[in-house]
Amino acid sequence: MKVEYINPFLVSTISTFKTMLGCVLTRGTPYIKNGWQPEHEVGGVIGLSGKAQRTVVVGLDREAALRATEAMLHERPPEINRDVVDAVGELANIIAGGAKAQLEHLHLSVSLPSVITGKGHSIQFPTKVTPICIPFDSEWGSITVEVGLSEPHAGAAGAPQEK
Amino acid sequence: MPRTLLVADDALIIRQIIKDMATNAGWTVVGEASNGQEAIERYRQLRPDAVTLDLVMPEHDGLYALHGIMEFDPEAKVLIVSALEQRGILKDAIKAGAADFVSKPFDKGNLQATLAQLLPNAST
Repeated sequence: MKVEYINPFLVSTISTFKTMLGCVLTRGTPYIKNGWQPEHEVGGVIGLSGKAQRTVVVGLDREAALRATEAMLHERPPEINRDVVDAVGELANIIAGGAKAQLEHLHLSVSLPSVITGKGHSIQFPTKVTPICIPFDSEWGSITVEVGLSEPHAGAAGAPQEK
Repeated sequence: MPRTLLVADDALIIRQIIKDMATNAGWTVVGEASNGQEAIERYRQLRPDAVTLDLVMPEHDGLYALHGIMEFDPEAKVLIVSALEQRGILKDAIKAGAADFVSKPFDKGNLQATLAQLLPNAST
Protein backbone atom coordinates (compact mmCIF):
# COMPACT_ATOMS: atom_id res chain seq x y z
CA MET A 1 0.00 0.00 0.00
CA LYS A 2 1.50 3.31 -1.04
CA VAL A 3 0.91 5.89 1.63
CA GLU A 4 0.61 8.69 -0.92
CA TYR A 5 -2.54 7.02 -2.26
CA ILE A 6 -4.22 7.02 1.15
CA ASN A 7 -2.96 10.15 2.87
CA PRO A 8 -4.88 12.62 0.69
CA PHE A 9 -8.17 10.99 1.69
CA LEU A 10 -7.16 10.82 5.32
CA VAL A 11 -6.11 14.47 5.42
CA SER A 12 -9.15 15.64 3.48
CA THR A 13 -11.55 13.76 5.76
CA ILE A 14 -10.06 15.19 8.93
CA SER A 15 -10.00 18.69 7.44
CA THR A 16 -13.57 18.53 6.15
CA PHE A 17 -15.04 17.33 9.44
CA LYS A 18 -13.07 19.84 11.49
CA THR A 19 -13.59 22.84 9.24
CA MET A 20 -17.18 22.41 8.13
CA LEU A 21 -18.64 20.52 11.06
CA GLY A 22 -16.42 21.38 14.00
CA CYS A 23 -15.90 17.68 14.65
CA VAL A 24 -12.46 16.40 15.58
CA LEU A 25 -11.71 12.95 14.21
CA THR A 26 -9.21 10.58 15.74
CA ARG A 27 -7.70 8.32 13.12
CA GLY A 28 -7.33 4.61 13.64
CA THR A 29 -4.96 2.34 11.76
CA PRO A 30 -5.79 1.86 8.07
CA TYR A 31 -6.22 -1.73 6.97
CA ILE A 32 -7.11 -3.71 3.89
CA LYS A 33 -10.79 -4.55 3.94
CA ASN A 34 -11.35 -8.26 3.77
CA GLY A 35 -14.90 -9.28 4.45
CA TRP A 36 -18.17 -7.56 5.32
CA GLN A 37 -16.91 -5.18 7.97
CA PRO A 38 -17.27 -2.31 8.61
CA GLU A 39 -21.01 -1.87 8.46
CA HIS A 40 -22.64 1.53 8.14
CA GLU A 41 -26.09 3.04 8.31
CA VAL A 42 -25.35 5.83 5.83
CA GLY A 43 -22.70 5.65 3.13
CA GLY A 44 -21.68 8.36 0.67
CA VAL A 45 -20.14 6.79 -2.43
CA ILE A 46 -18.14 8.75 -5.00
CA GLY A 47 -15.80 7.79 -7.81
CA LEU A 48 -12.63 9.39 -9.10
CA SER A 49 -11.29 8.49 -12.50
CA GLY A 50 -8.36 9.52 -14.64
CA LYS A 51 -4.87 8.06 -14.62
CA ALA A 52 -6.08 5.96 -11.70
CA GLN A 53 -9.44 4.82 -10.46
CA ARG A 54 -10.71 5.40 -6.95
CA THR A 55 -14.00 4.62 -5.29
CA VAL A 56 -14.48 6.40 -1.99
CA VAL A 57 -17.08 5.45 0.59
CA VAL A 58 -17.69 7.75 3.53
CA GLY A 59 -19.53 5.57 6.01
CA LEU A 60 -21.24 6.88 9.12
CA ASP A 61 -23.23 5.21 11.81
CA ARG A 62 -26.68 6.56 12.56
CA GLU A 63 -25.75 9.02 15.28
CA ALA A 64 -22.75 10.37 13.37
CA ALA A 65 -24.89 10.94 10.28
CA LEU A 66 -27.57 12.74 12.29
CA ARG A 67 -25.03 14.87 14.14
CA ALA A 68 -23.18 15.77 10.94
CA THR A 69 -26.42 16.90 9.33
CA GLU A 70 -27.35 18.84 12.44
CA ALA A 71 -23.98 20.62 12.32
CA MET A 72 -24.62 21.63 8.72
CA LEU A 73 -28.26 22.66 9.03
CA HIS A 74 -28.43 23.69 12.70
CA GLU A 75 -31.39 21.38 13.14
CA ARG A 76 -31.34 17.72 14.09
CA PRO A 77 -33.17 15.54 11.58
CA PRO A 78 -35.76 13.29 13.25
CA GLU A 79 -34.56 10.31 11.22
CA ILE A 80 -32.35 9.35 8.29
CA ASN A 81 -34.11 11.50 5.71
CA ARG A 82 -33.43 13.53 2.59
CA ASP A 83 -31.43 16.14 4.54
CA VAL A 84 -29.09 13.43 5.83
CA VAL A 85 -28.68 12.02 2.33
CA ASP A 86 -27.81 15.49 0.97
CA ALA A 87 -25.40 16.16 3.83
CA VAL A 88 -23.52 12.89 3.50
CA GLY A 89 -23.41 13.18 -0.28
CA GLU A 90 -21.93 16.64 -0.04
CA LEU A 91 -19.41 15.53 2.57
CA ALA A 92 -18.28 12.74 0.24
CA ASN A 93 -18.02 15.27 -2.57
CA ILE A 94 -15.89 17.69 -0.55
CA ILE A 95 -13.65 14.92 0.83
CA ALA A 96 -13.06 13.53 -2.65
CA GLY A 97 -12.46 17.02 -4.03
CA GLY A 98 -9.93 17.79 -1.33
CA ALA A 99 -8.09 14.53 -1.99
CA LYS A 100 -8.15 15.15 -5.71
CA ALA A 101 -6.39 18.48 -5.19
CA GLN A 102 -3.52 16.55 -3.57
CA LEU A 103 -3.37 14.05 -6.43
CA GLU A 104 -3.09 16.47 -9.34
CA HIS A 105 -0.62 14.23 -11.19
CA LEU A 106 -3.35 11.62 -11.64
CA HIS A 107 -5.68 14.10 -13.43
CA LEU A 108 -8.70 12.77 -11.61
CA SER A 109 -12.30 13.72 -12.22
CA VAL A 110 -14.87 13.36 -9.48
CA SER A 111 -18.24 11.73 -10.14
CA LEU A 112 -21.57 12.72 -8.68
CA PRO A 113 -22.00 11.21 -5.21
CA SER A 114 -24.54 8.53 -4.39
CA VAL A 115 -25.79 7.81 -0.90
CA ILE A 116 -26.79 4.41 0.43
CA THR A 117 -28.87 4.08 3.58
CA GLY A 118 -29.86 1.04 5.56
CA LYS A 119 -28.89 -0.40 8.87
CA GLY A 120 -25.85 -2.65 8.80
CA HIS A 121 -24.99 -2.36 5.13
CA SER A 122 -21.49 -2.98 3.82
CA ILE A 123 -20.05 -1.71 0.56
CA GLN A 124 -18.21 -4.34 -1.46
CA PHE A 125 -15.61 -3.75 -4.15
CA PRO A 126 -14.76 -5.75 -7.27
CA THR A 127 -12.10 -8.43 -6.81
CA LYS A 128 -9.45 -6.51 -8.73
CA VAL A 129 -9.84 -3.47 -6.49
CA THR A 130 -7.95 -3.20 -3.20
CA PRO A 131 -10.19 -1.55 -0.60
CA ILE A 132 -8.32 0.31 2.11
CA CYS A 133 -10.32 1.14 5.20
CA ILE A 134 -9.49 4.18 7.34
CA PRO A 135 -11.41 4.13 10.63
CA PHE A 136 -12.04 7.32 12.58
CA ASP A 137 -13.46 7.80 16.01
CA SER A 138 -15.31 10.90 17.12
CA GLU A 139 -17.63 12.14 19.83
CA TRP A 140 -20.43 11.50 17.34
CA GLY A 141 -19.53 7.87 16.84
CA SER A 142 -17.80 5.81 14.21
CA ILE A 143 -16.88 7.21 10.81
CA THR A 144 -15.04 5.19 8.19
CA VAL A 145 -13.55 6.11 4.87
CA GLU A 146 -13.00 3.24 2.45
CA VAL A 147 -10.89 3.87 -0.62
CA GLY A 148 -11.02 1.34 -3.42
CA LEU A 149 -7.71 1.52 -5.25
CA SER A 150 -6.57 0.47 -8.64
CA GLU A 151 -2.99 1.23 -9.57
CA PRO A 152 -2.26 4.11 -12.00
CA HIS A 153 -1.89 2.87 -15.53
CA ALA A 154 0.43 4.47 -18.04
CA GLY A 155 -1.03 6.49 -20.86
CA ALA A 156 -4.57 6.66 -19.56
CA ALA A 157 -6.35 9.87 -20.37
CA GLY A 158 -8.23 11.72 -17.67
CA ALA A 159 -11.94 12.11 -18.14
CA PRO A 160 -12.80 15.70 -19.03
CA GLN A 161 -15.97 16.19 -17.00
CA GLU A 162 -15.53 17.53 -13.49
CA LYS A 163 -17.65 16.65 -10.46
CA MET B 1 -29.66 48.96 4.98
CA PRO B 2 -28.76 45.28 5.23
CA ARG B 3 -26.44 43.96 2.58
CA THR B 4 -28.14 41.64 0.15
CA LEU B 5 -26.76 38.35 -1.09
CA LEU B 6 -27.52 35.84 -3.83
CA VAL B 7 -26.34 32.28 -3.13
CA ALA B 8 -25.59 30.04 -6.12
CA ASP B 9 -24.66 26.39 -5.56
CA ASP B 10 -26.14 23.20 -6.95
CA ALA B 11 -26.05 21.52 -3.51
CA LEU B 12 -29.08 22.50 -1.47
CA ILE B 13 -27.30 21.78 1.77
CA ILE B 14 -24.38 24.05 0.90
CA ARG B 15 -26.79 26.83 -0.01
CA GLN B 16 -28.42 26.35 3.37
CA ILE B 17 -25.08 26.53 5.19
CA ILE B 18 -24.06 29.70 3.36
CA LYS B 19 -27.46 31.27 3.97
CA ASP B 20 -27.22 30.53 7.70
CA MET B 21 -23.70 31.91 7.96
CA ALA B 22 -24.50 35.03 5.96
CA THR B 23 -27.73 35.73 7.83
CA ASN B 24 -25.91 35.42 11.15
CA ALA B 25 -23.42 37.98 9.88
CA GLY B 26 -26.17 40.46 9.05
CA TRP B 27 -26.69 39.78 5.37
CA THR B 28 -30.13 39.45 3.82
CA VAL B 29 -30.20 36.49 1.45
CA VAL B 30 -32.53 37.63 -1.31
CA GLY B 31 -32.28 34.64 -3.60
CA GLU B 32 -30.79 31.29 -4.51
CA ALA B 33 -29.71 29.63 -7.74
CA SER B 34 -28.81 26.02 -8.47
CA ASN B 35 -27.10 26.44 -11.84
CA GLY B 36 -25.19 29.04 -13.81
CA GLN B 37 -28.03 30.22 -15.99
CA GLU B 38 -30.31 30.65 -13.02
CA ALA B 39 -27.58 32.62 -11.23
CA ILE B 40 -27.41 35.13 -14.07
CA GLU B 41 -31.18 35.46 -14.24
CA ARG B 42 -31.54 35.87 -10.50
CA TYR B 43 -28.74 38.45 -10.40
CA ARG B 44 -30.39 40.55 -13.11
CA GLN B 45 -33.73 40.29 -11.34
CA LEU B 46 -32.58 40.90 -7.77
CA ARG B 47 -29.47 43.10 -8.17
CA PRO B 48 -27.92 41.87 -4.89
CA ASP B 49 -24.93 43.57 -3.30
CA ALA B 50 -22.92 40.35 -3.60
CA VAL B 51 -23.06 36.77 -4.89
CA THR B 52 -21.56 33.53 -3.64
CA LEU B 53 -20.92 31.32 -6.64
CA ASP B 54 -19.98 27.65 -6.90
CA LEU B 55 -17.85 26.88 -9.94
CA VAL B 56 -19.11 23.39 -10.70
CA MET B 57 -22.81 23.32 -11.36
CA PRO B 58 -24.96 21.47 -13.89
CA GLU B 59 -26.17 22.94 -17.17
CA HIS B 60 -24.21 26.19 -17.20
CA ASP B 61 -21.35 26.28 -14.70
CA GLY B 62 -20.11 28.96 -12.38
CA LEU B 63 -17.61 30.42 -14.81
CA TYR B 64 -20.39 30.88 -17.35
CA ALA B 65 -22.44 32.61 -14.67
CA LEU B 66 -19.53 34.81 -13.65
CA HIS B 67 -19.06 36.03 -17.22
CA GLY B 68 -22.79 36.68 -17.54
CA ILE B 69 -23.00 38.58 -14.28
CA MET B 70 -19.87 40.67 -14.95
CA GLU B 71 -21.13 41.49 -18.43
CA PHE B 72 -24.38 42.75 -16.95
CA ASP B 73 -22.73 44.52 -14.01
CA PRO B 74 -18.95 45.07 -14.20
CA GLU B 75 -19.03 46.24 -10.55
CA ALA B 76 -20.61 43.00 -9.31
CA LYS B 77 -19.07 41.53 -6.15
CA VAL B 78 -18.78 37.81 -6.77
CA LEU B 79 -17.28 35.48 -4.17
CA ILE B 80 -16.31 32.09 -5.51
CA VAL B 81 -17.09 29.28 -3.03
CA SER B 82 -15.79 26.09 -4.53
CA ALA B 83 -13.73 22.98 -3.89
CA LEU B 84 -9.95 23.05 -3.75
CA GLU B 85 -9.90 20.78 -6.76
CA GLN B 86 -10.97 23.68 -8.95
CA ARG B 87 -7.68 25.58 -8.73
CA GLY B 88 -7.26 25.73 -12.51
CA ILE B 89 -10.71 27.18 -13.08
CA LEU B 90 -10.21 29.48 -10.12
CA LYS B 91 -7.50 31.38 -11.97
CA ASP B 92 -9.90 31.92 -14.86
CA ALA B 93 -12.52 33.13 -12.40
CA ILE B 94 -10.22 35.72 -10.87
CA LYS B 95 -9.26 36.91 -14.36
CA ALA B 96 -12.95 37.17 -15.22
CA GLY B 97 -13.57 39.52 -12.31
CA ALA B 98 -14.32 37.42 -9.24
CA ALA B 99 -13.67 39.52 -6.14
CA ASP B 100 -12.36 36.70 -3.93
CA PHE B 101 -12.69 33.01 -3.22
CA VAL B 102 -13.30 30.64 -0.33
CA SER B 103 -12.45 26.99 -0.80
CA LYS B 104 -14.57 24.08 0.43
CA PRO B 105 -14.39 22.91 3.12
CA PHE B 106 -14.89 26.35 4.63
CA ASP B 107 -15.58 27.46 8.16
CA LYS B 108 -18.05 30.02 9.34
CA GLY B 109 -15.50 32.63 10.35
CA ASN B 110 -13.61 32.50 7.08
CA LEU B 111 -16.72 32.81 4.95
CA GLN B 112 -18.16 35.63 7.01
CA ALA B 113 -14.86 37.56 7.05
CA THR B 114 -14.41 37.19 3.31
CA LEU B 115 -17.98 38.28 2.64
CA ALA B 116 -17.47 41.32 4.86
CA GLN B 117 -14.40 42.32 2.86
CA LEU B 118 -16.45 42.47 -0.31
CA LEU B 119 -18.33 45.50 0.97
CA PRO B 120 -16.05 46.99 3.62
CA ASN B 121 -17.95 50.28 3.91
CA ALA B 122 -21.46 48.87 4.06
CA SER B 123 -23.35 48.55 7.32
CA THR B 124 -25.38 45.59 8.39
